[in-house]
Amino acid sequence: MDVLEGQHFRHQLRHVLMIEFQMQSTYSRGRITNPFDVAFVSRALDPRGRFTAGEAASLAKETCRISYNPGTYSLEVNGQSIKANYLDELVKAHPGRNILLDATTLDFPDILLIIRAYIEQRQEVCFSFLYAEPEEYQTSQFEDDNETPRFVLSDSFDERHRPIPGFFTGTTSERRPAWVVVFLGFEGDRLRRLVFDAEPEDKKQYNLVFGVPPYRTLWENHSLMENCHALSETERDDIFYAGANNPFSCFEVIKELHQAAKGPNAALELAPLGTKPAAIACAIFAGCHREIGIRYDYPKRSENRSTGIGRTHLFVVKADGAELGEF
Amino acid sequence: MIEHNFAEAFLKNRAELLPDDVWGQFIVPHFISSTAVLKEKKAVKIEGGRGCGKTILMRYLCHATTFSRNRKNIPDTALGYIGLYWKPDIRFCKLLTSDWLESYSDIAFEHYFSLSVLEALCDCVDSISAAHFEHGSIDLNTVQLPPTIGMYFDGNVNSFSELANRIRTERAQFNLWVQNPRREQPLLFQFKDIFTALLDTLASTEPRLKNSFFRIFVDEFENLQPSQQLIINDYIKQPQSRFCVSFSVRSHAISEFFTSTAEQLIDPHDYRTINIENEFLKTGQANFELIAAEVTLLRLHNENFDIGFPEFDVECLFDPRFLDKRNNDEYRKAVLARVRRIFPQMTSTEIAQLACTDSALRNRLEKAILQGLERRKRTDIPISTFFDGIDPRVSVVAASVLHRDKPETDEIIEQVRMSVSNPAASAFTKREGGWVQNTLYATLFYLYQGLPNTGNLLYSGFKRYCGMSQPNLRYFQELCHQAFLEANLDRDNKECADPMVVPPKTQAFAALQVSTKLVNEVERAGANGKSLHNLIMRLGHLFEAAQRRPAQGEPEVNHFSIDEADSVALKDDVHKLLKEALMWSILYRTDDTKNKSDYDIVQNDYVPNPIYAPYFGISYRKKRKLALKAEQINTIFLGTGTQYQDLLKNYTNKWMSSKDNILGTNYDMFS
Repeated sequence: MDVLEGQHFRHQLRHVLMIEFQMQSTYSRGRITNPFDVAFVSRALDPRGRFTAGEAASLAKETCRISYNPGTYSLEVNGQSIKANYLDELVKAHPGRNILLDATTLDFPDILLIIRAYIEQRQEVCFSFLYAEPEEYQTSQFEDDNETPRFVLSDSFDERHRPIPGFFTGTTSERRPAWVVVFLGFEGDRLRRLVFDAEPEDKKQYNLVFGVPPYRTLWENHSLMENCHALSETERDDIFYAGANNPFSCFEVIKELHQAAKGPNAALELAPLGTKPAAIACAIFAGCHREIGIRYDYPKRSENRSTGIGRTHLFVVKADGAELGEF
Repeated sequence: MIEHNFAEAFLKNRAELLPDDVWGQFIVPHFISSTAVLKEKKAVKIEGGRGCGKTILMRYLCHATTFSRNRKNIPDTALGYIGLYWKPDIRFCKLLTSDWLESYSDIAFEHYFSLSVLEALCDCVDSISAAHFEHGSIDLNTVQLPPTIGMYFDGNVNSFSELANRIRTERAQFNLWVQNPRREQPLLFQFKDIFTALLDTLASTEPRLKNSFFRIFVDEFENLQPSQQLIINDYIKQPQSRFCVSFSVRSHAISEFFTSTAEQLIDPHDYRTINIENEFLKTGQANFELIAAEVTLLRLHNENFDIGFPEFDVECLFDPRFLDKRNNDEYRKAVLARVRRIFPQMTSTEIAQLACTDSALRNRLEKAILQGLERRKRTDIPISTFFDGIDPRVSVVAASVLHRDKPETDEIIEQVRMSVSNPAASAFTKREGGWVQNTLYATLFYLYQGLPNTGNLLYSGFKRYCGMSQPNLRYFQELCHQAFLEANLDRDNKECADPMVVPPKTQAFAALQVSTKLVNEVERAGANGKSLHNLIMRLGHLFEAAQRRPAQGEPEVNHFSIDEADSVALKDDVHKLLKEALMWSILYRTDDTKNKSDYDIVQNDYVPNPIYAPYFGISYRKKRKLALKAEQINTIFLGTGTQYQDLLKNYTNKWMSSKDNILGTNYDMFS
């Protein structure tokens, strides 16, 4: 990944909002000179989470524990509840221009709403994402030797596909075709359920994105094996590949499809079912575009779902503070 | 290149994939004439399992179909009952709850309902205006709307097309407000008054609409939030003079219906129930076979294939007025005969003959007979005794009988001989309770079980396809689709010159494919899909194990009942999972209950959906059951893998005498 270090590229958003990527692939505490205004962290479930949450806290003037509750549509912030349409209160309570997100412990909806909250302030803001890959993921104990090992990452999906206010593209009767960009991970059921729960009467095109290259050689096989059933059953438009630990290449895929979807006036929806770097890309894109929809299944992450601390990344994104367009 | 792509014709077997106008797609089922669904001014509950055809029935009853542009000479009577279809957006409804909208949630849902119904009415006005009526067209686009309508929309709304435009704007604003209630709140209203005003206007301006009754059909009621269901129930409870609200719900999903004032809805006082699966079961296999045959021919006809059956008048399929004609014996015979030529069926006798000639089957049959003889220490008897000049059915069944403890070997040989000399007196071939009659199917299943790569012909043939899919026409069409697909792939197949004939072997293979796919699909059945999948796998393996007994003394065990004595020991979670299994039609319950409450699970037989039978290599015919104790049910439903394996081992040990196991060489479940 070091070849990408220092790579810069800019993405001009439709509504003049400009965001700029600055990639610093490998995290090193020594390189961070100025403390962050605020660090957002959530509950750590495994050693890498405890590591990055600890690092994040030490790098910022203030640490904020945050997690989104899909059932109440609100963010729990340091024990207080903020509804998803009162995101300005989050910024009021934690003002800052230089924000650190511990992407290892934060879930996708947390990241999405934090980004939207600060972007809506229409001021320059810099988001840094700290993320540690695992050494290994937990695999299932099988009763049958013939079964291939499966990663056990989630316990349940109680709130599956509940919309997130502000990220719902419209009801079925509007009969708008949708392009759904699905970032695939190691749990094949998640794609199957996504397709199964989606309203079949509206035409949908599924653009499937595999995390290739993966964190570790051969992990892409897990993803292919897990999702191969759905590949044959789903009416899919195309398959894409984007580095599993590279939010920038994920972002490029989204950007490309966003351009393409404009033509037929389809709703573009993102479904981050894959790795956290892919989720970061989805959160940035959707956080900066009002017209993007989200389909998410809120996995309840298993305790000790991974072991060890692999490569740790710091991704940096700057937004210029221009207005976020209305619908 | 594939020249005859018949498979495509059966691809769109879910109503959601079809347009709102299903004229030309939906075949009026025979049960419809005996139900109230066509002419009913109070609510109708359309009930059934997944994929049984609730949505397509509703769409058939709604305006897009009634006034279809594909329908010629529509009688004015079609204006008597006009249906408006609404399928709520379930994801959106999750935002219309007190968790998000607090005290506005109910009125917001009412508003969503209102906008949807009014939009459906505008679409309906378009349908009527474009329809080909026998007595001349009706133009409703010029109807002047009363000034009160504008009050709901902040401005003048004069015509239905203006109304349709206003609703679109209104809907967009409503969507934005729902996602951010800090925005300016739109005017939220109930639809009853405005809808009645619009219907009055229609009735007074167009004489042919004077007595029209509108029926709003709400699809997938069970997926609404509980508070939203109460609101719909309020409408169901109070039919109006010009309209009522009906709904569809998945069987077993909801057992009691209440209004917002805690009044219970009572069948038949408040609504009438039409359970599609029960209706198909009630009217019997013959009626299911007829409609399945009609579906087959119609789908092929609709794709412009020549079905070689000029007398087949598809127009009769879509209009209940022709039901009598379709009940005619001659018509039935002709339709069934045509489809039986497409999916030819080998009789069990023919399959028995094959078992004596096909090398793999014959091999397995001889092995079974020899082991039976070995078990009886009578290897002195030449194997030819069971084949030379013997009815193949007797040869096959002998393999099972030899594995039983009784009767004596000489007696069996005597009965074999008698089956030739005096078949009516032989224990094998006698008409009532003969061994052939009782055990032929089971022994054939047994023979095929050892040959997983040989297509089991007992899963082929039109009648058997119906047996495996009844009462679900979607499954039947899946079978047709796969059968034609396999037939196309099977390029070397020279068995039949007519491409519109699927050879039995190909059908058998297709049945296995479809069964496998649908067993896998169970994983996606709701939030508990994984548990349900686990359940069907465990039940299937248990019946599969029962099928592996060479003696076949209790043939075709494929369902279970629950032992009443210790039913109190059933866990709560078992009840829940059982209900889910019924709701998703993974299990069927045979209701022979008398004076028993709806969810008294103790008194009933539970049959796995017969479409799963090919996957497990078991019989799809409901024959014998296994009486299980509560403790065993608990283990099968919720036990750990090890607990279940122990249970299975216990049964297998009980079922197989030690020597029998030798035959089960292909049986490696425990290896």
